[in-house]
Amino acid sequence: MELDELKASWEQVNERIEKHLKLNTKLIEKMTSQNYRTIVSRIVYPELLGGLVCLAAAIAIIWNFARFDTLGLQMFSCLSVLLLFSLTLVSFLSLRGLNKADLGLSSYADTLKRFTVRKIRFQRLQRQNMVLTSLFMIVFIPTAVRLLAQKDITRSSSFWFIILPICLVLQFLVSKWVYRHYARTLKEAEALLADLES
Amino acid sequence: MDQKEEFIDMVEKNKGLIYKVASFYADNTHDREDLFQEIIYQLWRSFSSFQNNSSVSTWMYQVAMNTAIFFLKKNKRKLPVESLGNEILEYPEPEAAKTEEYFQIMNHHIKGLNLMERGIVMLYLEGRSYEEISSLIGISASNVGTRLSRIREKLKAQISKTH
Repeated sequence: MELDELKASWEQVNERIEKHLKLNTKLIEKMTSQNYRTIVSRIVYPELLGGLVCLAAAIAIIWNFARFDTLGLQMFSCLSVLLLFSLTLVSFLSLRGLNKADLGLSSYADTLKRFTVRKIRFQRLQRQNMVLTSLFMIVFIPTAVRLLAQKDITRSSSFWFIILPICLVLQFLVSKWVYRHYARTLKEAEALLADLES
Repeated sequence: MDQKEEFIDMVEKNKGLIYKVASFYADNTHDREDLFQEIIYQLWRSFSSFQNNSSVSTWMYQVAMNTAIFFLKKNKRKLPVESLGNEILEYPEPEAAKTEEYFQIMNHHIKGLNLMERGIVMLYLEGRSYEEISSLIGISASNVGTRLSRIREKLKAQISKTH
């Protein structure tokens, strides 16, 4: 079906829609109320909760820092804190500017440009977030074992020669998958932005 | 007439326009009704900034199409709007089947277009002039013409690919 054929059928569909669309005052009032729509809170609260959990874990590590009595443990705990703060920051950055726009004030092209720029930024942050999380899982193992089971697995040769190499290989594979996964979406968004700016 | 009553009256008069935008951007019935509700909510949010500088339908297209852009993103995160428990569009068979079939054909055709092209096609289907499309989209009228020719070519190529 070509564009003009689509247009002719669109007009017929319009007539049917106008005839059978049921919309009364009560329904419109319901739709304009804040109560029924919770989209934004459903995005914001899990991200916010995730960020707060990361912050709490970082504080717990700093609070118990004296218990990390070897150089290996101190290195892993410092890296854990650094990654936890980075994850919190990435999480909060991805929420910035969400749903603040007045959609009646800008043209379609401007809204699309703003949306695409935000999408590219969000996708990049998500990509960084996933890579940081997989890295954190490795770094956090010795820190968590020390805090919860009072053991120092950095003294064990199996940690350095078996667990850590396996984890690093897995981390490399995860990162590769993440970059490939986001590559297509990012490429499409960047192409759209280039088209809008042309 | 207070602000809310004025708004409700405006929506009732232009409900077809809102439903058409929702139908054009959403892939299925459920998403269509979600987007329909979201557009009405965003129209209400923007209602105080509507200064009558443009026509009601122009303002409604602007808000509705801008909402659709953001809805697509939110929808990908699988966050549905709560159901109102009412069917917005109720029509008897076989009209329902015919309309659904049309929406499916249309979605099949436009899925290869980017969001900019979709916006232009939407307004073209609505019978808007190049000048009106130009002011709503925010590009020049000549650019609208160029893009529409490109879209026709794209659609033709897509048809020949599928046949």
